[in-house]
Amino acid sequence: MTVEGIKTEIQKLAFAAVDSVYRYVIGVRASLKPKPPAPPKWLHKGRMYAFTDPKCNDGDVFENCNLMQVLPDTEIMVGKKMTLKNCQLTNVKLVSGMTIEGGNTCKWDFCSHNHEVFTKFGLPVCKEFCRHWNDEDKVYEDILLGQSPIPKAVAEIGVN
Amino acid sequence: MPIYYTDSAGSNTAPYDTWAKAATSILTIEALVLNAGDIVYARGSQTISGAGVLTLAASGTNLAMISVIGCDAAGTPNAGQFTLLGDVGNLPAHLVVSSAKTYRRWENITFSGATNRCVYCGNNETGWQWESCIFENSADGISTGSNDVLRQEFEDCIFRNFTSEGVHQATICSFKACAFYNCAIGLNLNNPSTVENCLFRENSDDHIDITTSINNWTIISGCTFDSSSGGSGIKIADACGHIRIRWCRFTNNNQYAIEVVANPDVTVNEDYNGFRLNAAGNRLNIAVGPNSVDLGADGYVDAAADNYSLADAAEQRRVPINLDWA
Repeated sequence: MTVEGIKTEIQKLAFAAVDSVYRYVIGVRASLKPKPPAPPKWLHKGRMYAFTDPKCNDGDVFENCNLMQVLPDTEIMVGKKMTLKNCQLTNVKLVSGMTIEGGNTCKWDFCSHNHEVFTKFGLPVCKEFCRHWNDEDKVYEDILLGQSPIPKAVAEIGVN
Repeated sequence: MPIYYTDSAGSNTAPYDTWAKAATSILTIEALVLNAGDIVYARGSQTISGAGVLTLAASGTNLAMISVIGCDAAGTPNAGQFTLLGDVGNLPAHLVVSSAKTYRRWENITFSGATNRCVYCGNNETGWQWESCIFENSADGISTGSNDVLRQEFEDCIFRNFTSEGVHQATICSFKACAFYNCAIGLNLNNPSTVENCLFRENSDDHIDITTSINNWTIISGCTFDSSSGGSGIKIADACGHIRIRWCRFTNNNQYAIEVVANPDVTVNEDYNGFRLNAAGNRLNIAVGPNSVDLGADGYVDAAADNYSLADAAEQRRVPINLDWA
């Protein structure tokens, strides 16, 4: 084989190599289906979500929202990860996946005598002189059950 | 009339008279005896845990005006909010307990997170003034054990995210350009007060609940009452009198726009108001104001989503609010 012949063979091989790589890439690209777009991360700001289980995407941020529930340890937004900044979280069950910055994490045993409107949202109706009755002061009182523990992963990050 | 400074990044050096020497806790300033005309400048955020509350109890005498003013990061007064933040997980019962001393002025302070109340008025304190303050995330914003929140002025303040009431048992108080939202009851009036140009929206019970009004006058004017999810715009208890409601908008409330529970008194009346889409009706036990209108006939369009979002009290002053008018 002449020198020119060798050059021609090398050029053919090089072209074939480039062409195969090109076809491979095109093939791979063609075989890839487009990924569904990631759900948007919403900023929920100043919204009233009390007594509801709001729709939430992973990464959403709730700021100055009211998410209170009528019964202690009520689960909401199960399985989602979100940041809750300065939100009213009374009676919300706090679980890992929730990043909590400020707000209110109390657990209250509400009395329907004090919160008649809460019965519209699931608070059981109390009987007369129920457990909330303070006989000394002759009033019905909500009972503070304590504060929900902050999920450990969040506590390590720190707040404020 | 010295000025004291508090900033968590200060050097905590007495007499705390510059930002560099600022007390790292406002509770340090509280331990000083302040006098009439003294001012406390505060910036940033400070956390209050279980036991600590701000009282200004050692300060001055009765009738001595002492001011606490929030500043921005540059130290400019009234250019940003100073935040007293309850330590989440170890919230105090109250962030501020009033001290039976009259004449305190609070400007641009955010009170956030307490189990019972942001501010506890223990003994009918009078003459407190609140301007551009935010109260949030407790059971009540301001209330007492059994007495009234008496003779206090609120201007450009925000009350939000309370499981009970924004203000409980206000008596002879003035509310001007304030916003009450995401509470159970926005404002509870226990005796004559003035409420003007305020926004009430998305409270779960009544926006305003008037439990007593027997002498002088309660004036409610120029307010918006929108989207109560379980109550009325204004609910007036049995045997109340001397209430005037003027130039207000009542829309999308779950019960009535104006509800008088029983025994309507002729001194309780409304006029020049607009009504639309109040589920139970526009009025109960109160006569139709001759100049009031159904807003449906007046071009009112209910937007798909209201936009009342406010970032801070400064926005409350300067941002126009979408009132859904076509």
